[in-house]
Amino acid sequence: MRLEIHNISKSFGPLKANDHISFTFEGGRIYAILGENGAGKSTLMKILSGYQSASSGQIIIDSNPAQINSPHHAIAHGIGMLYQDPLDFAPLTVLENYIEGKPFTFLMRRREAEADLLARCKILGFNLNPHAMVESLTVGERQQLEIVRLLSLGVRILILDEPTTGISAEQKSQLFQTLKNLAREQNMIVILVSHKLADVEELCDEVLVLRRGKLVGYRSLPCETDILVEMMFGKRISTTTPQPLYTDKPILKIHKLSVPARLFTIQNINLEVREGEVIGLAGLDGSGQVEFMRTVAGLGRPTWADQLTAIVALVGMWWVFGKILDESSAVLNLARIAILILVLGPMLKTLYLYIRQRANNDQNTQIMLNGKNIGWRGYRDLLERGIAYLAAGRLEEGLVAGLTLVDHSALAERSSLPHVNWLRAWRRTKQAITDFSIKGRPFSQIQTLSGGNQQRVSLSLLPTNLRLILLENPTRGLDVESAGHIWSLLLNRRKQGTAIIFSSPDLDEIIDYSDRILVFSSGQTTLVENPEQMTTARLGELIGGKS
Amino acid sequence: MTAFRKILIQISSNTVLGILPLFVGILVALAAILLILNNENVEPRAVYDLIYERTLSLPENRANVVDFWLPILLCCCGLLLTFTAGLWNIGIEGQITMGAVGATSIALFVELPRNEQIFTELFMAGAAGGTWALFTGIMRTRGGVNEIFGGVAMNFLASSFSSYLLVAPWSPPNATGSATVRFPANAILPSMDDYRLSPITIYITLTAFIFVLLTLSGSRWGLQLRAMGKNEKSAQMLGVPTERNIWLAMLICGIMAGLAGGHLVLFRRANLPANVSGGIGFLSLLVVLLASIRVRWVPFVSFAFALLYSAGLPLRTRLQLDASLIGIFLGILVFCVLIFDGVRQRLKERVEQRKLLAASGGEKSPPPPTVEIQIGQEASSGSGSN
Repeated sequence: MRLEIHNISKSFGPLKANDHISFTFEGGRIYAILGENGAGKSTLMKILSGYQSASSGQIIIDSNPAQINSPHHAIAHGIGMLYQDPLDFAPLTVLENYIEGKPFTFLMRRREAEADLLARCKILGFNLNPHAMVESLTVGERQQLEIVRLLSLGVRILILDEPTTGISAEQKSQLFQTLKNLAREQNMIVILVSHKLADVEELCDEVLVLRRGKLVGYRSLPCETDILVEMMFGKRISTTTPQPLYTDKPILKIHKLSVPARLFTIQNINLEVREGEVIGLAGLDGSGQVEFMRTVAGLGRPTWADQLTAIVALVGMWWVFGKILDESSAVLNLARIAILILVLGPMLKTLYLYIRQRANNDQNTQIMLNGKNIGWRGYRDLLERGIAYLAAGRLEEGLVAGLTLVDHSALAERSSLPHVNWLRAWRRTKQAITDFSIKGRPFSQIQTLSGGNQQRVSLSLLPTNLRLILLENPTRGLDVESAGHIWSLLLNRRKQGTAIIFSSPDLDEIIDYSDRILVFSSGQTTLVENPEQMTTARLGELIGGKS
Repeated sequence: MTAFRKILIQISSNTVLGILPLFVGILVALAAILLILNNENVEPRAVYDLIYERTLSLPENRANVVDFWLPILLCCCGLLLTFTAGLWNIGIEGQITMGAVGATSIALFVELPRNEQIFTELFMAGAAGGTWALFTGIMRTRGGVNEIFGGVAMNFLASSFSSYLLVAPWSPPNATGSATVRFPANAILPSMDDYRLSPITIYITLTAFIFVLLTLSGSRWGLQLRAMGKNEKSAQMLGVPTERNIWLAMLICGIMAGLAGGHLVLFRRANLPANVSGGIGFLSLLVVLLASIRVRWVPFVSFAFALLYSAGLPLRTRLQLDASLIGIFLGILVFCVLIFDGVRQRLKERVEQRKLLAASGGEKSPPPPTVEIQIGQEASSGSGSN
């Protein structure tokens, strides 16, 4: 197996995402592609996997030029990519996902496919239930499914994008063993795209480093981490452990809170957060960290008013439709019943969520901010009271694609005036660009900024007088330098007494930045008081349920 | 890149690119309409002459067109707000109907001095339409019911309710339930001396249009609606009061639709008929879609629609054409313009990409012979073979 790329270039306007990259990948080896955010790693991998076409250059597989214009073509040439968030269909079963993408046959031949799936899983040491719904799987299991699926399609060159994000230490070690076996025993080419140097050092044989679209370095492993960092950034990056800044004054008290999560209902969460404190939430994906933070922030939970509206509307609609059902026309009645279902269905769901929430939390449940019960208030109300939330999906739940930085500044401004003072918004944006080192212009549309810069914009838009910031994976997809900058901005907030609660799949990040750690495991929480004495392995064990 | 391609990119990147597909769309639609007319053995010239004669040739015909146009424009103004906020207010038909019912309830059963009478009728029209829309908004935010489904249900309820009123309590003696009695003269909106046009409706529509124009072009609320339309969740995280804005946008749209319904019964018909809206709510939805939610285009597009619709009846009577053909013509027009608008956007994206590529010299820059290696000790001209 041999993959050659010759002078691959890709331009987005004036930006050269890939600039004449040439390299030869050999079978049986595991390669890492390293580089800071915006270095062009993802673009190169997208070109190889057919999601984007190169502006110029050539791809040669086993001495044959390959024309790759779509993921379908890439798979036909034996190239498959496993994404950080696997591209599967959550509402379908494992088997149905496995069958997806296979050459079309009129009948699905489920039995054959199931036998094939189980045989492949056995070889790779995976334990997947073909009839389980994909939405019930962990990220690690979904990755396993995707690997088996790609291999069944004849993939010989496997590209993995940040595969260790969101999986446990045990799952990671199993994944790495599988990848090593595939490379060594089946002579496959494995290419890993990752920010995590520890993963790269553990798994890979060779390292390629991209910077500003160019291939700037290549080394065989092992080699010193500092050298890799210098190759990535062109300089050495120093990391310092932050000093605690918390006081004894509690600002948030949570008493006997229960939160329904995807895998379990987390029972009886008790937590006291002090002024200036940083609390890291550790746990497997879907263990309830995000649901806990969203509940505290007043997001996505039905209130008593929702319940009241749902009941009134339910009764009202039922009564009115009952009155007007026409006995003479069956078709018309069917149409009316269909409308009734479409309207009543979501209302019943709202009612169910409310009842479930009430059933999980008794009268003693309290969420107190500065001594006042913030109970079941909504997000906007809590934002006014000093609680802000930053979600992991910046453009999905945080920033508005299509709006400029100035628009965002104007939106976030608290003003009772009916008109927007654009000059003031522009000035504030300019100031934020300077203060937060944002690489962008005031009238840049937000989606054109890199992930790190989007996160900086999000932080710049937060009100200044916050008591608590809740963050979901604050450095998601960011390189070491950008992540360090985001953390320095966040930690600066502690000087005003702002507390921080964050979740992250990166255990090192949790240990490095937390004053205390709340571990979510199998529906229970455990508070770790001294993170400085904690190791990633021990934290991994706690997440896995070992006490 | 050839000189011809360069010229092509230059030409297509300017405003021609924006307008040409629109014209092509209209031309394709006209060609389709001509084909239909040819199939019906009708001279296109005769249709054009008739449309002109019955809509624009005489002052009273022009007044008729404007009278048809005003309620459409009023509904469009409301829809501009909800569409900008990402709310597909399909329930506008029901809001028009309830506005008409609200106005009728005063016109038939309350007797006040003229000015108070008119004010109360219009107030009730706006309040009924607004409340009807607000229900849909509340179901959306509190019950999680999509406004399209909620709107369809509320449309259905409104039409059933008005039918019930016409059949039972408001039915005139010995009548079939097709309309109420004619309203007393005191309850009907005053008309201009020269033309049959309601100055009150003109003022209301003008005010509504200016309000919407100012709101969407420079106000804080307009910016909030725009953000919500693009991403409601993100807008909420930025501190935008999304629930309040949904209620307010729906309420204002409902008030405008209700006033349009009020105009239909208090001026055009002088009674409440069955199916009072006559589809102007759906027509307004088409107008706003066709204008791509651009405020400045809406008066022109809605006027063109009003013009064509006003010619529906004469076409049937004079040329023996089915009146529904006008609806088909408009449908073809909307369809073609929307398709070519999509083509325009695709073209624009491609041209932008090519322009940027050309600016960066992506296609012409000569490839360097080897890969630049800065640090790797073991690098060997870009090959990782072992």
